[in-house]
Amino acid sequence: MTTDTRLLNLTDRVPQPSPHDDIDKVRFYDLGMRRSALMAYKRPSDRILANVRDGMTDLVEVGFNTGLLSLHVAGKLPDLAVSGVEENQNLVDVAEDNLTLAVWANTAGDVEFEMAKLHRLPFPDDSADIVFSFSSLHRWRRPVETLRECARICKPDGVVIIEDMNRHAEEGHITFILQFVKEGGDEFMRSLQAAYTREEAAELLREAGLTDWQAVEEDLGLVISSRPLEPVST
Amino acid sequence: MSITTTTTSMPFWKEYPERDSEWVRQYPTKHVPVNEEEVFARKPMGVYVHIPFCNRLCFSCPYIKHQTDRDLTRTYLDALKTEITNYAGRPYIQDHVITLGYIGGGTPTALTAPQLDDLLGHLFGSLNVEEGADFSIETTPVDITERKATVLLERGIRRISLGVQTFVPEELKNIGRPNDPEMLKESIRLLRRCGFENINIDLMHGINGQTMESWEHSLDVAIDLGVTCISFYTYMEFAQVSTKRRKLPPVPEKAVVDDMFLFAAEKLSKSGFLGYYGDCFAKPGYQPKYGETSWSEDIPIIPLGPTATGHLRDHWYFNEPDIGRYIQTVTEGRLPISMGKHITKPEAIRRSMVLGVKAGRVNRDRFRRIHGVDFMEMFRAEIDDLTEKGLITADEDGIEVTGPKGWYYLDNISKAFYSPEYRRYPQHLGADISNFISRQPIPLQITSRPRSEETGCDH
Repeated sequence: MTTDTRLLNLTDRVPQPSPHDDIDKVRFYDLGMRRSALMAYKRPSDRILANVRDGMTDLVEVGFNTGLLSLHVAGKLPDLAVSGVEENQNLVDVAEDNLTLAVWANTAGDVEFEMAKLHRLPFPDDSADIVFSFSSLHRWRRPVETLRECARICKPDGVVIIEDMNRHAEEGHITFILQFVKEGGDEFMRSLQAAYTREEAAELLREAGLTDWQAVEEDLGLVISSRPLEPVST
Repeated sequence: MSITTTTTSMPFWKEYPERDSEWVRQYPTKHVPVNEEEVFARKPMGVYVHIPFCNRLCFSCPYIKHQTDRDLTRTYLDALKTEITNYAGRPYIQDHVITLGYIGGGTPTALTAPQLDDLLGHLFGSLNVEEGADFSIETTPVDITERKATVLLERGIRRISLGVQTFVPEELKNIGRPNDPEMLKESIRLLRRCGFENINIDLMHGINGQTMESWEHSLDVAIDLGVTCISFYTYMEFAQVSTKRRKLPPVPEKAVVDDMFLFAAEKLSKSGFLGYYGDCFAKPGYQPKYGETSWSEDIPIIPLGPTATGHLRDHWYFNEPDIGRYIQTVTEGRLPISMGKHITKPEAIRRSMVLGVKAGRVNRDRFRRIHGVDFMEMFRAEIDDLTEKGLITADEDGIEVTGPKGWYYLDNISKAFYSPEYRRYPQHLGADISNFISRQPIPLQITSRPRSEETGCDH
């Protein structure tokens, strides 16, 4: 164990004030994700695909950002329905644009995006086989209620997989990623400042009464799941 | 307490408590002959120039670069010349003489021949550049022309490095390069006709569709061309975002890529090349001074251009990465220094080890002359550990990295000499994180990752 000083200002959580409030900024963010950060989607995508079982019919993404992960997963699973919800109009608009392009390009997949409050998901109880979320948790206004909603809509034999960044990830890892996100560095760091630590995520789960769920640190990320998950390769 | 006096016979030297009669006013003593030339000798210095433009952008390149654009290039060159002028006017710079330099990018020869002529004329005319200084420049077989080569030679560039990557047509196509190996060979012949003696070829291993046989072919062609230096880099495949790239043959397995490294290192050694930096090889006498000397001998480097890295006045630093902000800062008369680190004396010693190892060997006497310490004693534990692992050999003269195994692990070896504070922090590629630096030092506990059975929520 070594005592050292922290380089980055990430000790305390700084919630993001009204993120994605400008459609042009959302388009810029979307373009950046499509161009350079597609690698970031690989592990969440692999993890979702690894949990697909015979007989599954419905997947739900909670907080789909600009819809890229849902579109990617749906393209791999053309026989399953993927429904996404998001509560920011600009994000929904850009996701709809992406969906239009996917339809135009004859992409396989059955995808639907809609706007809804994340703490009041518009799905019946026990209706989804896999409930997933990526890079959204840090923006949730009512995270405890949204976690309960994820649990509510997930089938008893289904699984909830929520991935986001870990604010207390190793600084070397964070600064390494920063070298590659280039002009998206500010956006990345503000998201990271708004992200939870493993301990804070565990506290959210405790408040939500989801005491048998998992919160695991993984490189830069944090993976919350309703049951233990098999590791996926990077 | 007892005081022992050993110099009782010297009238000017008394040990306390006896009062000395010499009024001390000079140091050091032990005088030797000195003349005017030595007292006023200029210390060596290097320069790195970053040209952030390419006529064709490669998707595997992580460096800061822009598509060549006439207006932006012109504005940028004006700013770069202003930056050179700003440095040239500083007394510290005037006390030095430029003995080595490197012009990289991007593709420096994306500039036109008149632009290169103008830039180099300003660079060499403004700074104190030594006659015959060791300057290298990067180019590509596509960008180099007879006119540009002539300008470079006339302006004093001695070594030229071409990004060839492979001599196999299919592999060239796969990485998006013009795929005629004959054209690549012709660019080397052109440089030789123009008068370049020191020519480097960059090759890549691990590219889509490459096999050990095709890799050997590229190496054979490079050796047969009679170039003085051959470097090879591992291809980094980024996200396959285009439908075209998804159809490419896969990159070789990691184990094959590793074998390619060892194969090339052995082949080039047997062909009369000497290794440095692990993956660079040069015929004896042709290794560029930039890097080897500047790193191991702690020679200051002036950084010019966005993201250029330098080492001046006990600071390592890099320039503003955003080309717009770079141009604005320089135009306002300021140096575009962005982020870096003060180098303390203990860190300067480590820096010489970390970077000196990259040249493949560290000489004990030379190190002692520069830093006044014996690195063999100072880093005894690290050296013993690396020796035990078969990565280096150590004797009275210093240490030498064992090839090819040690060359393969050269960066691991180098990092063994990092101070604990900097371990597990990456080097920069141009990200400015100044807005997010912690204002107050906060104690950090570095612990190992929790084991899998501990990672669940504990309720």
